[in-house]
Parts: sequence; C-alpha cells; structure tokens
Amino acid sequence: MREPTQQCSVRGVDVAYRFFDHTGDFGVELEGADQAEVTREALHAFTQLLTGDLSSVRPEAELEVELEGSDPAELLVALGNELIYCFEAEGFLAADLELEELTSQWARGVLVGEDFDPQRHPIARPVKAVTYHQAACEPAATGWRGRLIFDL
Amino acid sequence: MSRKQRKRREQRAKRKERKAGAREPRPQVELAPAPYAGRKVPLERLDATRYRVPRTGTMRTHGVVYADERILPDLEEDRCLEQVANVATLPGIVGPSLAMPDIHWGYGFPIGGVAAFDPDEGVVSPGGVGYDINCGVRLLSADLSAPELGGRLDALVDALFKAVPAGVGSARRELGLEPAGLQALMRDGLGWAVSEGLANEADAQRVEEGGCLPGAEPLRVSERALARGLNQVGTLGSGNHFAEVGVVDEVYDEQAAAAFGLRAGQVTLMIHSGSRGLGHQVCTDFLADMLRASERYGIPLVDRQLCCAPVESEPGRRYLQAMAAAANYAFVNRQVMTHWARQVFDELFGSPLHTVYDVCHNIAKLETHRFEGRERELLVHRKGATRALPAGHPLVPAAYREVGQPVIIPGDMGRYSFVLRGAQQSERSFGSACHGAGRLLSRAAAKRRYGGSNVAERLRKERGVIVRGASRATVVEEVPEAYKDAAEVVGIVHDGGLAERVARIRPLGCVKG
Repeated sequence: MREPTQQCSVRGVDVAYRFFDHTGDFGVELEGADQAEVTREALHAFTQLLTGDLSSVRPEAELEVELEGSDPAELLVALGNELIYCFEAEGFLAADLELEELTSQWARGVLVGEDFDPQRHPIARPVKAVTYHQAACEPAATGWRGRLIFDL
Repeated sequence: MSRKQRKRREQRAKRKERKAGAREPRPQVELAPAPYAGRKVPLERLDATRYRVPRTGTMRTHGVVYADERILPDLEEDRCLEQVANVATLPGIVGPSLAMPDIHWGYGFPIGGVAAFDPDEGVVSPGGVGYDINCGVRLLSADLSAPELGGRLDALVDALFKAVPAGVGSARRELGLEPAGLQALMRDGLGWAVSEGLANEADAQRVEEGGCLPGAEPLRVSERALARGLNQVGTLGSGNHFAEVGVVDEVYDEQAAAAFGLRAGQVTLMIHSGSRGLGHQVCTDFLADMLRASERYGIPLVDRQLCCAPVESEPGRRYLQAMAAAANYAFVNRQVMTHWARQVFDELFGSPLHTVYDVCHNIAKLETHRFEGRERELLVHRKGATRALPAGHPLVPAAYREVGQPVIIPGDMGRYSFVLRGAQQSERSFGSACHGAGRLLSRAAAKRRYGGSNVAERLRKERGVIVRGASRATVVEEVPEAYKDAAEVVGIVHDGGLAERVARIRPLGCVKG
C-alpha cells in the first residue's frame, strides 16, 4: 500500500515523491521533469524520511559534493549514501542540492542545509543505507522517474 | 578551518586529482532478466517443512524454502521468493539457494537467506551479508530468579536505558577510543575487549568464532567507515535492535538447558545489535567496488545488490578482510554493552551476567560442511540466519559440545524468544537456522495500524512488559503484531531438524533504539 504523494516547497520549488512499503524498510518513488529534478527529489525524500519534516532544515550552510556511478540510478544511490555520511559523521543535514554539473555518470554540486540540532530535528527514521535493490532513474512517458529503497 | 572550508578543500584536491586522471566513462551495468521476473514463483512441496523453488532461466540450482502451510501465505505477500531464485543465479553456488522460515523481502538476498559457494569457482557478495555486518544477538543469564527482581523491574529497565546508549547519536564518551584503538579492536575482536578489561575469558569462549574472525584487515576499512564507527562502540543503534530483560518461562530440554546454564524462572538479558555505521559503510563501499568487479569478471547480475566477485579475486579478498574487521567490531560492540549491563545488574542486584552465547546473523565465513557425502570447505553466506552446529561439531564450545551450539532466536517484545540447540539435519542448510520471527507487517503498515495507540503503555498493561524507546516511532514500528509468531517459525526449524527447542524466554522489559 502506498502512502500519498508528499507535496512541499523547498526554496520556492514544489517537489513530489511517494513513499512505499518495503517489509522492514521504506522505498520512495520520485518524479521530475529531468534527471536533475529526480536527483533533487531524492534528497528531499531522504531528509523528509530522516527528520519527518524537510522544512525544519534551514539552508544556512553548504557542502560541496561529487558523485560517481555507472548510470543515473547509481548516482541516486551515491547521493543517498553521501547524505548518510554527511549526517552521521559530520552532523550535517541537507535540505537541497544545487547541481553544478550532471551527466549520466557524474554529478557535482552543493548540498545546502545546516548542522544537525537534536532540539529542532528529532530523527523520525534513522536511514542507515541506500540500497541498489530496484534502484532506478530513467526517462518516463513524461519526464523522468526514479526509485530508491532505504535500509532503516 | 571551518568544516565547510575543510570539505571544500578536500573536494578541490579530489577534483584536481580527478582532472589529472581524466574521467573515463564507465560501462553501464546491464541487468539480466530475473528468473521469475513478473511471475508467481511456484513452490513444490518436498516434505512437511520444505518447499522447492524450481530451477528456471539462468538459475544454476533450485531453491529450498523452509516453511509450512501456515506461514506459506505470508511468504507470497512480498517478493522474497523471487530473491531466493535470484541468488541461485550466482556463479559457484553449491547446493540449493536456501531460505529459513523467517524469510522476508530484503535487498538482493532475502532476509533469512543462506547460500554456500565453492571458494575456487564461486563468489562472495556483500549483499549476501547485508549492511549490518555481524548483526547478531547475545544471550546472558543472571544469577537471579524473576521474583528476586522484586519491584525493581522499572528501575532495572530505566538503568539499562541510561547505561546502554540507544538511538541516533547517543554514545558514552568514557570509552575514549582513539583511531589506533579502533584498528586494534577490529583486528583482535574480543581479544581486544579482554585486554581492555571489558570482557573475561569465559565471554570469548562463548562467542561464535571466539569473537574474532580470522583474516580481519582494518586497513581495508575506509576513512569514512572509521569516522562513522569511532564513537559508536557500545551503542545499540536503532531499528529492530534492542536490549531485553527476560525470564526463562519454559524449558523443553533440561539437559541442554543445564549445559547452557539456564533454568526455569531465571532472569536473562538479550542484546541485539551489530556493527553500526562502520559496518554499513563497509558494505556501501564494497557494493560500489563489487559492481565494477562483477562487470570486470563478466558476472551477469539480475539485481545490482547481488554484485559480487570471485572469492579468490583481489576484490573478493579485500571485501572479506574488511568484512571480518567489521564483524569483529560488532562482537566488541555487543561485548561493551554487556560490560555496561553488568555494571547495572551488579549495582542493583549484586548479580553477575554470564554469556550464554553470541551468534552472528549477517556474515560470510569459510566453513567445512558435509555435502553430497564429502567434507567441503565452502563460503557460507548467512543473511539473517544463525549458525546452528550440532552436538559433537568441533566448532561448538567445549562446554556445549555434547548438546550442540546454542541457537538464540529473538521473537518480538511482547510474546517470547527461544533458545535452541543445533541439530543433525542442519547439515542440509550448511549448519544454519532462522534468526528471528520475521516481519509480518511493514514499518509503514505497523504505523498505520498502531500509530494512534500507546504501544508501550499497552504492553505494560496487557503483558507486564516495560518498554523504553529512544524513538516512539520505532516502538510503534516494532509492535509485537508486526512480527510473525516466533513459536511457529521455531516450530518449523525444530520439525525440520535444523535446531531443537531448549527453552522459551518471556520478555519483562525492553530497551529499544
């Protein structure tokens, strides 16, 4: 059974993603006009799942990020795992991604967010890893679609 | 330098390096069609506790699922049976692709999956071990009977909740672990804990592999994994991890229970946790490595999460060395929590806690098993499964060798858990049994159904179980009704001859991550 599509606005841009059940964990289906939008939505979905409230993360600091993969789906997985590392090892929560360069195998950009503050960011669901299982990021009939499954 | 500046500097250096080497396009990973993609997986009944998944398409062998008619409908709820078939496509698999009765949908391998590979012709797959390398469970027994807890059960659970860090970011700083100590810990496992005064020799004798997997090479563990793991030693984590006070409420096998130091009415503590962020990062790092290796060695994949490399290849060896280091970290993690729990039991009741046994759930190990009439060394992957060696096996600790290895099967926090002993028919499953009850409801479904109720309060009122959770959401998602009945799962393992019931443990209090 699917949860309804989450609609929210991040820095003035509407985003859409839909969480779905995976027996012990969660997955998310992503939609966007192009690969870049799907990639950004993956970040929004991740932070929404982690914090329960994407809008609670302020765009106050930046971290540069570079990602590699053999295709856009692997790039999504790499982004998710980068976000986990930034949160767990560096205490950084990302609210958005400003992409400076994006190909099917490489992405470079800036994560925009702030330091984790347990008072303002109660962790709803700790995400431990982003899996390759059924990972997808590809053109669809209209725009692009993506899918990720998170290990909780 | 601020973190932002530091990161940018690191990135700049990285980019410079990259430019010098020029980015080369990587071939895309082409997935092969899965054997049962989009089709219902047929099951052929072999006997009362086993079903066969017939070989089709690119499967190199058939699958065998331990199940009975009662739990069969649950297995068809998700895609776990397809995953049993997918594992059977991997090169060098020996015997069937196996699934224990607590099977459910995982990533790549199903949870509850067991697969053995020939070390010369077969592969090692990080997805066959899982993210939480050596997630496992330790059972401890107290010199206490339940009535001796008096009215102090709440105080005990509160003290454990305080002593054993649970949930995101919680840790005890007094361990003061430095990077060099972390390296030693990963290399020596329980030996490190003994040398630090955090464990005794009896503990080490009652941990799978003596608490130290051979071949661990901490230098294979990335800086990122070290950064995630440095402050997490002795922490429970989140999700389905727990520390649970229980009481032995039924003994099925007096002789084995006595050998394990268990008696009816005795208070126990069970700790379920793994290698925390360090293990997850090792898996993440090596999945990326193995995707490239699969391509290099021409291994067709039906699921990227099944990426792998020949056991004897350089990437295969590197992974096994890093995995062993992470597994040793997990052994020590459970040991340090044991140390802190011992302080609590000593302070409140003056009671020691004895390690009954400590088993891995997520691991790949070279083991010798009898297969088709001869002894063979095999790389056995257990992804959500427990080793279950029978009586007489040389790897069973001397104290338990006459009865068999203790097999600890946690249930849910409301009903019961079980202690079994490895049995002779476990030869059929490469010495493996189930690892838990297995989820029945997804986390989202549990939240939808029970999110409006106070699960902790209901457990206290209805079952007398005290629950303390770092996160209310986790407690709801771990509600007992989200799990299969552990008695049914254990019944299949028992009837199938993989492991035999020794005792049942009823929960009294539970600390959740």
